[in-house]
Amino acid sequence: MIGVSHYLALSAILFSIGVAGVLTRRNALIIFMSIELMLNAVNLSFIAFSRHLGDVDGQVFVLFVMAVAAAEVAVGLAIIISIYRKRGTANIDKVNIMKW
Amino acid sequence: MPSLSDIQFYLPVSMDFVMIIPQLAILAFMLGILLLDLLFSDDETRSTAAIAVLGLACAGFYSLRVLWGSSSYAFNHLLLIDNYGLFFNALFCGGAILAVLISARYIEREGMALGEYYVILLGAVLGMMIMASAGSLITVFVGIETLSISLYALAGFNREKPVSGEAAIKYLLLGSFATGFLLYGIALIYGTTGSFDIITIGDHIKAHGGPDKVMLLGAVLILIGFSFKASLAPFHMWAPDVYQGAPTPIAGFMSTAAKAAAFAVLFRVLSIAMPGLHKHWHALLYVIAIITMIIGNLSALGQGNIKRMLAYSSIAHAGYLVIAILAAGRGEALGAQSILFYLIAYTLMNMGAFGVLSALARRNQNNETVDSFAGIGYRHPAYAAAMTLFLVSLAGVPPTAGFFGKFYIFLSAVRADMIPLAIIGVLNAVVSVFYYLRVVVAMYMQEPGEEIERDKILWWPAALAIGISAAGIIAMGLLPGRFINLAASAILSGI
Amino acid sequence: MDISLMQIIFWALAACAVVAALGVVLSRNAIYSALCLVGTMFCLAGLFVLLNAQFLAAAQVIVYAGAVMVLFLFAIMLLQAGQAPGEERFTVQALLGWLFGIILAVQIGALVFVAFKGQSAAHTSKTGGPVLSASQAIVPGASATVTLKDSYKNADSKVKDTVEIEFIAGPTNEAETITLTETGPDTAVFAGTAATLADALPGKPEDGAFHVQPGYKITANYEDTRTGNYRTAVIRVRDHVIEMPAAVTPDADLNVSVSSHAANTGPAADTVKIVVTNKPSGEREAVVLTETGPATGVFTGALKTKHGTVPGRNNDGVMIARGGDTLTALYQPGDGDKIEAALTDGELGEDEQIPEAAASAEVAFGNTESVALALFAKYLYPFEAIAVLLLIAMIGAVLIAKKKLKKAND
Repeated sequence: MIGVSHYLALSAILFSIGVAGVLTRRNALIIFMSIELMLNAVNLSFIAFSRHLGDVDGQVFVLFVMAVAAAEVAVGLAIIISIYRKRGTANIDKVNIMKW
Repeated sequence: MPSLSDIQFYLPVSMDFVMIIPQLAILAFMLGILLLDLLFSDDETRSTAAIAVLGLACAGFYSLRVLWGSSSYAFNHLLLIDNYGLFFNALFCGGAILAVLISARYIEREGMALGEYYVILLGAVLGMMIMASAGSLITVFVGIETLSISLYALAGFNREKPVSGEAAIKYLLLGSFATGFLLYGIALIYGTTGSFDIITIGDHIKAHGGPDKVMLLGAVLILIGFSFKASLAPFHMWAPDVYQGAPTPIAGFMSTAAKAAAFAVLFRVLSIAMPGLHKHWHALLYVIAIITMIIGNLSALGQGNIKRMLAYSSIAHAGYLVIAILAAGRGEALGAQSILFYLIAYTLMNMGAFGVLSALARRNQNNETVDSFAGIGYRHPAYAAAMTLFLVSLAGVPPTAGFFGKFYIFLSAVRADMIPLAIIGVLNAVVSVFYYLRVVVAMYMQEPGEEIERDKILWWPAALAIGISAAGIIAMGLLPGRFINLAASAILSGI
Repeated sequence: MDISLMQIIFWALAACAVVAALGVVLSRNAIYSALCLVGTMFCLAGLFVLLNAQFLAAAQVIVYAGAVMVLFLFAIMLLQAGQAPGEERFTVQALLGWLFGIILAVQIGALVFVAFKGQSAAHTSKTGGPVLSASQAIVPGASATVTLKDSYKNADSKVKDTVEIEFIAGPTNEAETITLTETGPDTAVFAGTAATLADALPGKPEDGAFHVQPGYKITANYEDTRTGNYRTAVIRVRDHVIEMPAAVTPDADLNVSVSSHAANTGPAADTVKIVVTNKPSGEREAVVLTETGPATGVFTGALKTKHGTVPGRNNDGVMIARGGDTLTALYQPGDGDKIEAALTDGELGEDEQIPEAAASAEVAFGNTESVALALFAKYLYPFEAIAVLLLIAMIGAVLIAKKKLKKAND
């Protein structure tokens, strides 16, 4: 039987892959995508719990997470584009006038 | 399962809207500025600044004078309207007014004078207000994100300046990384307690006698998320870069009002939702407080850039605030009061210091270093005197607000039987005197090197903001009892 | 236990999601990363459907895989950042990062897996706030049972506490307060009955019984004092009501009862005929129910069941069934009244009893209507706040990505 624990374990694995991506990659765009992966993994947890508890609130929260993630992406990509115009790179290591 | 007939029980009534009039005022002024900005000519941002100040003053006044004393719920328990939240509303409005006054000249000089600057600033205040009144993890999340997204945009607002974009991207990537942890924590708490409502979560944890492992993991992840937002070590790495790269008034705003918002929501969640986990978060925060103070103060010692030095000092101050939270968690009433007292004092002195920095700055000039402040005491005596007052207060020298802030915190730690923590705190405060006084020494005792061009225009609103901060610090230093009473009345009805 | 289609779908989607997620963080080229992320999002949308979150699955595809990822691809193409040159791969930092990721995955994954092991993904009504339930349907004149589980109302653990709930009968708006008494000193389960009278006249409020006719609805809204949430119970008044237990074990008798005044045709004990169908196997059994006494209007009867995997013959008097099968009893007086129940196999511990009313509740759960009701009523405030957040993000994004600032006024 596929129980709630299977979904939660899958969510934990996806979340950790996202964390590893943020820690290992240096391309700002890929770091950003790894963060999106983390948020998606959390959404899976929310929906699994929502179903497990028989409570629709968890699903509502997922909608808010989606909206916020879209807003973050819009602002983040704008910042990356403005940096790219100035420096010609999206590599975080090269964006280091100040100490990182 | 909700059905169509249930909907009437959830729909808001007029009382719900009365309770959020401060937020609605901010929203109305925000949208008003957005539209009026179209009518004004391109260079006219001073009227927008005036409108923003008016809106913030209205919201702060309404919180402190009209709604003060109410203790109720709004919007299906999503918001808790009590003196605690209202106090923070007023604090955020005050901090934002100072930031607007300082910004008005700064953004013209830096060539980023756009009305939208104030729109986003008011958006940040709205997010803070949602955080401070949040009664559910859903509103906590929405408030934090409204604040964060506004600050990402403000940090990168000066896109002509490479450091500004760098600050914005670092803040955004680390901030959303932290949001991921916060959300995962919320998900686990939701899964184990079945609710987002912080009161229900608190009851559930208490009723079950203790936490299970998943609940504990969720609480730890939530704490990690908050620690990022409040720049507590070891999650503080973003703060120095972001404060240095962001526009100076915004850096001041981030280090004061935004930090106050993070502490407001942290303390509320800990004391309402997690008293059942007190043993666990006490141990965790105890360690965090010690390393935050030590890392902040030791790193600040070696900084040559004043903005960066203030960033590390703001990390250290966050460490002192955690001591107060720990004391409050042990049931020491003074602990909770000293959080609020310290946040008022810190907002005044840090906004003042950043105000002087931005008033003396000039476009494309490297005049934020300690060395560049040499001899300022003779060329700009008024600014130097104010800066000295702010730095002395930050260092905690009597009889300033900063002294009493630290005094109350360490006293509450001693009363809560945490004497080792109090001793570490006092030692840290002593170390901090060195780097604050280094700037004072440079201003008065060092020969100026080459002449550095500074802003020649005396812009009275910025001077007014610096004057207000200085007067506030002295008032708090002379009459600390009145302010601690205000803090007590804010805590009594709330948590 | 044999492998069901659901399991195959779950494992396939989960494997694809993990592989695609690894692709996101390992690809050298940002475009491949983005495409892998789209793949993960599609797999997750499939899992959302398995979890009965159809609306969110659609939103996931439209908002995430559609809008957000298109934005990403645009940015990558615009910046020609696909091939990020000079990114070193096997650094110490990368090694530490992966080590941390693996530890995190094993720790958190094992923790949540063990903590929730063996628990059904579907709602088991064990956790959460109060649960209010009542007979779904009654005939006029019968009494409905009402039960409430609420640990918060268990004020004194030494005595049987009582709770009062107000019920309102529609369309006459007759109100009656029903007192529920705790079943034991510390059970936190409260039970009571709502009496009705078959009466055409509207009754007075608080006279002890509802005056109802078929088509009426008796409802209660019970407030969870902690969260302010409302739990609703609805009792429908009908011409005919058929009842059977929510679950039985194979080899036991399935007791079925029908209440119907219309079927009470004569003064003697009448009979009615119902048909019980085993949905998965298709076996049908007709059962004759006998009136419990002259003119009571209540008919009862039992059907023998037997554990087995091979479907039996129709109408042989014994229903062959196994755990997980769903039995449907159908009584057709002309208006097609029916009710379902699920059979349980005692040998299969994991397929525990499906709670009462779960079959009908699950259909409603997670659909667009239930999400919308929560979003536009209970969570109206954060919904509006999110709108402001999106406005701020829009202004910020436009300003930062704009090309030139104005001249400085120095």
